[in-house]
Amino acid sequence: MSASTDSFPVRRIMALYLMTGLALVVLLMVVGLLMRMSQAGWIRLTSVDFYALMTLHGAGMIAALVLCGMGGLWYLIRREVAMSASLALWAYGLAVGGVVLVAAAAAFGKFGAAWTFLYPLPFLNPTWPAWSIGAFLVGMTLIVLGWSVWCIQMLEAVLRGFGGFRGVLGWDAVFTPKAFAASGRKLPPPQVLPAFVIALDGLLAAAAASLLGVALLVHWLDPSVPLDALWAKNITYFFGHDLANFIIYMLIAQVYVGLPAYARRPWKNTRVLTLGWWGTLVFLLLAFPHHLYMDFAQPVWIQYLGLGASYVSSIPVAVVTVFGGLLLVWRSGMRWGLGSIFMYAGMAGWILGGIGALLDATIQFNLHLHNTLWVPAHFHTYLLGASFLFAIGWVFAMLEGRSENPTSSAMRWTIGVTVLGGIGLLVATFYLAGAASVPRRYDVEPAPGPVFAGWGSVGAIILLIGLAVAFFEGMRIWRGLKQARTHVEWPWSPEPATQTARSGGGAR
Amino acid sequence: MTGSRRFAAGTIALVLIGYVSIVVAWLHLGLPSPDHSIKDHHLQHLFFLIGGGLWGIALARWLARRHPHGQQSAWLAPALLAPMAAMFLMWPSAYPYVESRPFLHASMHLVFVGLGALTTFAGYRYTRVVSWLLGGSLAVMAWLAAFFFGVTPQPDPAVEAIINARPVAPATASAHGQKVFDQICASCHMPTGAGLPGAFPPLAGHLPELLAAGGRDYVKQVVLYGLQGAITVGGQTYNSVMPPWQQLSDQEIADALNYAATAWGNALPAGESSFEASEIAAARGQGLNAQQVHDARERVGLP
Repeated sequence: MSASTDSFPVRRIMALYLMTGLALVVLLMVVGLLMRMSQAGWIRLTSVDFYALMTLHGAGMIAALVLCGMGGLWYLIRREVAMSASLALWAYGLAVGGVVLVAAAAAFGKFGAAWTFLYPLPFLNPTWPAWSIGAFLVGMTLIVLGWSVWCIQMLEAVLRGFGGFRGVLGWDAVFTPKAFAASGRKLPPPQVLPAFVIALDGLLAAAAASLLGVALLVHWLDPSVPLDALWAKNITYFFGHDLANFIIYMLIAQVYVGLPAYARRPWKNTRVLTLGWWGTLVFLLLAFPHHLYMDFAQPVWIQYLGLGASYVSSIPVAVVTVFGGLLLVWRSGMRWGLGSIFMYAGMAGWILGGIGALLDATIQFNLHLHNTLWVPAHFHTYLLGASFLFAIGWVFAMLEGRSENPTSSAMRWTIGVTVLGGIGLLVATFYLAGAASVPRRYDVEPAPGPVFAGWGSVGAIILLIGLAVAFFEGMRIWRGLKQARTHVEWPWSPEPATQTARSGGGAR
Repeated sequence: MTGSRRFAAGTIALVLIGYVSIVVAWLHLGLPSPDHSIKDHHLQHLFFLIGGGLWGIALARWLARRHPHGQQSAWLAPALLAPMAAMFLMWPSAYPYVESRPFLHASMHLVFVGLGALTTFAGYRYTRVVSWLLGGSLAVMAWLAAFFFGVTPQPDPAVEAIINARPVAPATASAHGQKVFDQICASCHMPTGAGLPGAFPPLAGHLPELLAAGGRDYVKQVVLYGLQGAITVGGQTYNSVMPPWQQLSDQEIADALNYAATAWGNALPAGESSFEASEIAAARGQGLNAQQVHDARERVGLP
C-alpha cells in the first residue's frame, strides 16, 4: 500500500509544478509593481492597460500559487501512497494551458474584467475584442479541469491510503478515543488532513465552476441567453473564494512536514487538529457570501451564514496549527535556515491576513472596508505574506535539508530582512490606504492613495531585490548538491502511513 | 445477507431508482410544451441525469464484478467532460427549436440519460467513490442551472421597494435620463455629478461650460467614442480613459445628457436646446477613436 518514498521522478514532478508556479509569481510581481507605480504617478499606464494587467496579475497569481500548492501536496501524499505520475502531468498541462490562454486574453486582447470576471462585465465593455472573452473563459475552464483531475486523484489516494472517510477524518479517535488508543492505531499524518479537505471541497467547487464556465461560454456564443447576475456572482465566489483559500491550506501541508525537519521533532496529528480541519471541511464552502454583503438583493440569512462560516472555517485550524508550530519550536534547538525562517514568518502572515479577512467578513466592518484597499491588503498578506513564503520556504527546506553548505548568517539576515521587510512595507501601505478609505480597483486613486502606492512600490522593489538574492543563494546550494554528487537523506521524514492505511476499509 | 445477495440487491435498487427518476422526469413535469419555463426544463433534465447516473453506477458495479479491473485513469476524461457536455446541451435558447421536433426532443432526453450514465460509469472505472461524487456534482450542477442559466430574475418586491424609494428626480431632468445616468455614468462621475478629484472629472458645472464653449458635438462624441488623454477641469488634471458607450440607444444617450445638463445646478446655456435622439444618431458612424475625441476637445479650446 505504501509507496516508495522520495524517488527522483516524483521530485521532478513536484519541481515542475513549483518552479512553474514560482516563476509565474515573480513575473506577476513585476506586473503588480507596474500597477502600483502607475497609481503612484511614477509611470503612466492607460486605463485599458491597467485593467488588463490587473486581470493578468489576479488570475495569474491565483493559478501560480495553486500550482505551487498542487505540486507540493501531491509530492507529500505521493511519499505515502502510490499515485499516477501521468495524471499529475495531465493536471499540470491542463492548468498551464489555461494560464497561457488567460495571459493571451489579457496581454493581446486587453481583457480587463478582473480575475473574478463577474457577469455581465466581460460582455459589456467594448474595449476588448470578443475573442479575448472566449480565450479567457476557455482558459479558466481548462484550469478548472486540471484542478478537477488533481482533486480526484488526491481524494482517491488519501481515502485508499488512510482508511477511507472514517480513517482520514479520524472518526474513531474523535468519538472513541480510548478504544482507538488501545487498538494501537494512529491518526494519519497531518498533511493528509488538508489533502482530503481540499480534494473533496475542491471537487465540489470545481463542479460549480464548470457550470459557470459553460453558462458564460454559451452566453458568449449566444448573447440571447440571459443569466441571473446574482446567482452568477454567488457561483463565481463559491468557486473563487474557495480556490483562493485552498492555496494556503495546500501549502500549510508543506509546513507540517518542512518545519519539523528543522526542529527535529514530528508534527503530530491530534484530535484537536483533526477537529479544526473538520470545521474547515464543512464551513469553507459556506463562507463565500461575505463577498456579497453589499448585494442587498441577497437573502439576509445567507449573509449571516457567510459571517458565521467565515469564522468557523478559518479560526480553529489556524489557531491549532499556529499553536502547534509554536510548541514545535519551543526548546527544540531549532535550526534557523532560510526555509524555516520563511515558513515561520508565513505563519505570522497567515494570522495577520486572517485577522484582516475576518474583519472584512464581519458585516459592520465590511460596510466600511470592502470597497477599499483593505481587501487587497488582507489577501496580499494571506497570499504573499503566507502562501508564497510557505512555497519558497519549502523549496529552501528541500535544498537545505540535503546540503552540507549552509547559508551564512549574514546572507540569511540579508535575505530575511529584504524579503520580509519588502512584504511588510507593501502590505502595510495597502492596510493604511484601506483604513484611509482609498477605493480599490481604481487605476487612478484619489488622495492619499498615490502616496501609499509610492511606498508600496518601494516595498515591492525591496522584495524583488531580496528574492533575486535568495534565487542566487538557492542556486549556490543547488550547484553544491550537484557537484558533491552525494545524496544526503531528508533529515526527518514523516512516519510511514502503513499503520493507519490498514486501519479502515479504504475507498474501493 | 450474503455478499452476493447484498450486491444484487444494491444493483437492482440502483436500476429501479434510476428508472423511477427517469419516469418522474418524463411524466411528473409532463411532455414539455412551449409554455413550460426554462427552469422546469432544467429540473426535468436533472432527473434524467440522476436516473442515467444511477444506471451508470449499476452497470459499472455489475461489470466490475464479472471482469475485475484496476484503477483506469483514462476514464477520468469522459467522467469530467460528460457533465460539461450535459450543461452545454441545456442551452436554453435551443429549447423551443428542440421542442417543436418530437423525435429530436426524445433523442435529446436519451442523450441526457446517456451522459448521466457515462459520468458515473467512467468515474467508477477510476474508483467507486469518484463515481458517486461526480454523479452528485452533476445533479447539483443541473439544479443550480435551473436558477440562473437562461433564467431572467423575477422582480423582488422588497428590492423594488428600495429602488422606488430613491429620491425623485429634479423637475427639470427626465426620469429616464436619471435612470440611465445612475446605471451607467454615476459609478465614475458620481450620482452628484461631482466626479472624483484626480480620477474622474466632474460634470456639475463643467458640462454647461463645454456647451457654452461650442462643444456640443464634442460632448456627443465623448459618449459615443470615449476619451483618452489628459484634460484639465477646475484646475485639476485628469488622465483616465472613458470607454465608448455606443451600445446605449440614441434615446438613452440623449436623455442622460439632458439630465446631466440640467441636474445639480447645471442649466443649458442660452441658445442651447435639449439633446435629441436624432442628433445622437447623426453623430454615429464617424468612426472616431478616443484619442481623436481628445483632439476635438482641444479644437473647442478647452484644456
